[in-house]
Amino acid sequence: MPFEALKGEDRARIHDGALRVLEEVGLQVTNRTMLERLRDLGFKTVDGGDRIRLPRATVEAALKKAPRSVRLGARGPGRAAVLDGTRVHTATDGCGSKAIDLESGQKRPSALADVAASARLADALDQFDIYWMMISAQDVPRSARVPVEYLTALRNTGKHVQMIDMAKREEAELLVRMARALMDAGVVEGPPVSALISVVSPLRLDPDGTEAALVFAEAGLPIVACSMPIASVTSPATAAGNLLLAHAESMAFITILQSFSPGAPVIYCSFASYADARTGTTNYGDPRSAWTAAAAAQLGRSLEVPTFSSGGLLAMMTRPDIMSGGGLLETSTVLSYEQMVIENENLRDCRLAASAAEVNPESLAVEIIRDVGPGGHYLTQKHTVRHMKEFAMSKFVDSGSDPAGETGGARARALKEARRLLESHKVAPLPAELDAALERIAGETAPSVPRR
Amino acid sequence: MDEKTMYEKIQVSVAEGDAERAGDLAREAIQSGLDPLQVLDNGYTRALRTVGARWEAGELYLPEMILAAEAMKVALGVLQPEILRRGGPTRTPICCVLGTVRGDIHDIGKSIVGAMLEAAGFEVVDLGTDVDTARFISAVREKKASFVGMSALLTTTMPEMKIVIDELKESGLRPAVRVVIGGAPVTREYADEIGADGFAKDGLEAMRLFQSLAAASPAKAAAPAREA
Repeated sequence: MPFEALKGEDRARIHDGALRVLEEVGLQVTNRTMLERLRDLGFKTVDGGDRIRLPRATVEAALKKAPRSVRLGARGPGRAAVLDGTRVHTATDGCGSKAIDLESGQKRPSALADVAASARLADALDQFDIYWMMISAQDVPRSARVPVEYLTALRNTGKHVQMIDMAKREEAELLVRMARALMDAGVVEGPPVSALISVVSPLRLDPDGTEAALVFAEAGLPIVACSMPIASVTSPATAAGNLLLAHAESMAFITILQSFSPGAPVIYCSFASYADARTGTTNYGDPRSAWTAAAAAQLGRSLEVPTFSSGGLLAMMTRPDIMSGGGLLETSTVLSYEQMVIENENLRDCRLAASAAEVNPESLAVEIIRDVGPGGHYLTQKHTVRHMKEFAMSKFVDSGSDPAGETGGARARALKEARRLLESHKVAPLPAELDAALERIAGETAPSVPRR
Repeated sequence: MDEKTMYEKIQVSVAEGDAERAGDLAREAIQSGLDPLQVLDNGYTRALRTVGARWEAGELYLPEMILAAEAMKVALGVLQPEILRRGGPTRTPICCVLGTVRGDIHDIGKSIVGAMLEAAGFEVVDLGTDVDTARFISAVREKKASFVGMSALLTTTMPEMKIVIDELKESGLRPAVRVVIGGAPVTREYADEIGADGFAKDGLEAMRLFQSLAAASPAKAAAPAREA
């Protein structure tokens, strides 16, 4: 039984409120062509303006058309992520624009070499199931960036690659052709690439991103229909209102995708966050974040579509299909290789902790408490040895025992581990002919595609 | 109402972000014979400076700061024409053209910066979102702006900033304006790379940067920025 952050009646009230917002307020569509196309599909505008109304029946019908399970293909054997409610997959963090250099330790703009290295490190780290495009390759011309980033990630990981910076129709078309080439070559079962596109809070459809999403939907490539409101700034200051708006926006996007391409693979995604009270920028450290992620996962699950939520133990216990993991610092803008190693360990503990609530005679341990009696200790009990070892001794997270001792502390050990993995971990290359074909497609908009 | 009581009431109206009350008090002050320039300086500007300090100290939250700035703006709308009518010193505020670049419809970051700048006494021309190069250029030309502030929330739209800067150079306007950029993916390095004059990570940093740039180039600044 998954954890429930919201009582059933409260979940229903948020859902009903979200449907009311979509029906009464609607969604703003600034792209004129898109607005016309939506009108052609039968959507009515609010007072003849640029807002489309999404009646409850339309939203509910669209949600029924969305597939209950979605496969995210991967070229590594057994590495596909099947989103069917049975496993919480973890993705790396994504969409940063800076990196902490592995050698110098200095922060600098992220580059294509960081895409390659972070993808290879994510491949080596066992807790990451999906590679989110972690950072943007700012040394690659904008016109070629998305396909070149994808090809570079693909060369460096056997795990599923999910794009976050795909923003234009042309980019989506190139990725569709690359995906087809991969599937035709038989190196991957199911869509090898998916993309996250976000509604712009409050209640505005991204004009270019939505066109790109429609290209993917038509080609059967999965779209993460995302919403990322910031409470107090782009959504109400209260947690329930924040969740309600995010829920409405993700449902609205799914409705639009299903109206154009019925049955297209979509993933519900609500990343409701909170603002720093002084500056208005996102504060992922807000105390409500963990509960909000779990509540968002619960709202998504209740729609019976694959669900993506922010990370944390509570979210893990709510069992979304995907949970964002980590590896970026400074409000998800700066890639840190050592942080990826640390988060990998955190995720492993998180996964174990989520299953720790089992209550049975062995876990209740009444006999053991009797054996030890008052005043003794539990260290030498077989029960202790058995269960303490379920949690690996932490290598990369300090609990105060070795802050910066002879080993240089946990961060230094994590950095060393990141370097070791990057030196030793190999990823099977793509078949040469396929690699060349993909490079030709990616290179159509670039003078030359760097190998790494 | 004596002058002191009036200023106290003005202080409260700004601190509470009560725009309607702030406007009413400005009218009342003029009617009661107070000098509008004095009312502006000793009442509203001082009040906003106090609010700004409390905000920086972490005592007030961002919405309270923005509401105070809006109250100040309403009062200015009442006092400014009266100051002019009486032939008082005309202070042409420094004009800042703000916008989110082409292809990007993220609104709020830029709007927060706009509110902060208005609170600091700048004139803000907010072009909105998805602003193409031509609109930036024509606004700078028409308004004789001293600053251009550009925002981008996506790595995909960041390059538009460079296009605008290049066009400012091309059209000969670049020496007359200071260009400041911001947005989640934007970095100081990127600002240097594309030839912007500065980068700010949030509204507070932006306000300080605009103020220091304005102070550093008196020739470009038509008047000193009013302190917040």
